[in-house]
Amino acid sequence: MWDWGSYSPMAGSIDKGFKRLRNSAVLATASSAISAALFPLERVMGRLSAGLLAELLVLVGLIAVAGLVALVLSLASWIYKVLGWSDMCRSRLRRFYCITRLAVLVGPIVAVALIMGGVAVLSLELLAKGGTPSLVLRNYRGGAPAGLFLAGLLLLASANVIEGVAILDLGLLTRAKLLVAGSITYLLSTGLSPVAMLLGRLEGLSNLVSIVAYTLLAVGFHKTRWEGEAHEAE
Amino acid sequence: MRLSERSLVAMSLGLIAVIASATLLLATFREAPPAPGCVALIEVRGTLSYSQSPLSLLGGTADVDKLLKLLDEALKDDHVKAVVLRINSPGGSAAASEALYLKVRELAASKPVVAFIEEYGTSGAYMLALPAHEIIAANSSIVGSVGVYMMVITYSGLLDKLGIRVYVFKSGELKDLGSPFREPTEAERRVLEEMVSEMFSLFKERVLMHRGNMITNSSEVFSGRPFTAAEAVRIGLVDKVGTLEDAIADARRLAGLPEDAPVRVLKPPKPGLLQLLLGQASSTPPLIPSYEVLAMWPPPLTAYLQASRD
Repeated sequence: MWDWGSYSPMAGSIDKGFKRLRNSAVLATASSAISAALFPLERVMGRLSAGLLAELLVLVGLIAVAGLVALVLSLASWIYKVLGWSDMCRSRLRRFYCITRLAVLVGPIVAVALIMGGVAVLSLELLAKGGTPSLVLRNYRGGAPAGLFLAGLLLLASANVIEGVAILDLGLLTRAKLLVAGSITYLLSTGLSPVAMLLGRLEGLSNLVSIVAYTLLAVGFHKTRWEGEAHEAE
Repeated sequence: MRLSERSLVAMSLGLIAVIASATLLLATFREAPPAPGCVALIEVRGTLSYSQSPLSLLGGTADVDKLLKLLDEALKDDHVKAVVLRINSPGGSAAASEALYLKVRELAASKPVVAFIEEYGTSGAYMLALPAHEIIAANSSIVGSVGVYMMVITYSGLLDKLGIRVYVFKSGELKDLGSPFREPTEAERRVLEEMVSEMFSLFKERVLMHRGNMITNSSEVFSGRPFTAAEAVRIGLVDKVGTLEDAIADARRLAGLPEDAPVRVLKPPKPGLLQLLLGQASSTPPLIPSYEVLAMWPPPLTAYLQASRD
């Protein structure tokens, strides 16, 4: 039996993974908070009339800059996440963490490619049909773009589910209540996100749940140290 | 607590299956057609002209390009089973009125169209209502003014007072027809009158084609005078006096739709950011003094009010 309490390369790798996953969660919290703040701003922009050009321009600039910041933060968060799960995989604590690493690495890349493909196909259809965009979209009933969008959304959700389960497992192993609570909230937010997107409603709630989940995970990963499996440490 | 690798995989797969099922169910539900059919409501407000037309000087304009697109949208959209045209326009340029008339005629050939004249439905605006299956006028609306006029404004007197002389070198006698720098010659007057007469013949022909059986006093109708709604019913220019609700109800009935079938207002898209930045949304047309017009003269006060609101 290994002595989990003393330093080992495995424990070092796990703690390094925790730190990186914490960084990822912190950045994701910031990115989600910015996205949540942008959501009502976009609605305000839709209501501003052409007469308020100066206000409109300021708002557009604000949204563009904030959107860019949120995107950069998301990217950084994703990089930390991949590195964090790579550390966890390297620790050989669980084979499932290697599956998680693969999921968080490949899932978002393929998902974004699918969604971009959907946008491209839809744009081509709009050009080919020659109608106004509102007409084409209103009469739109599935087809290749919808399939690509849906596949992208589901792939992203799947990667997040695998990660959520892995964090839940980590929380149970270390008896870190915040990680357990964070992982459950994260899983809830993962389920809520595609539903909100398809319904065109509940985006506010979805954003709020994401922020809560990432905050819990950030604090959870910050406080948790690997001291061996919980049942063995007792 | 230590979960086995298998249970972690099983839990992940289970959750993914739940989310995927919910998402696919929602996507299927969302893609289902929302209703068997609807009535499209298209508003025709202001002077009829193309976006860069000098006629926008007469007041708030109804951009014909955008209206044509909306009519086309109503024509192509399978969910739109009937169309109500809500008209409040004194008319406009001959070309714009003609284009709208032809598009409404095409639309009326494939689905029921009801024209509702809310305040003004005169001249070119009345022409575009002609192909409708039914024309309803609001009680206090003004209808008719079937005719054409051409306006030539000259300011040679003003130029004389200012000591400004204009020399025009032209290849033919009528090349600068309608020049604002001098009084029109007799030959020019004849040409302009011929043009007005030709356009009027076409208008008259259309009125007789669509409402010939109903017209009771053609000399009155073609005198160019506007009528109140009650008079317009009496002489056969409109079918009945009513409200917008009546027009919508009749459109539903003509299309065989249920009484509670939804009404969808088709509106032109708002100008994009690029258009706003480039100032296209508020571009002012150039001043051209002469123009062939199918509109009421003088333009109604509401057109100016509409313009000041815009």
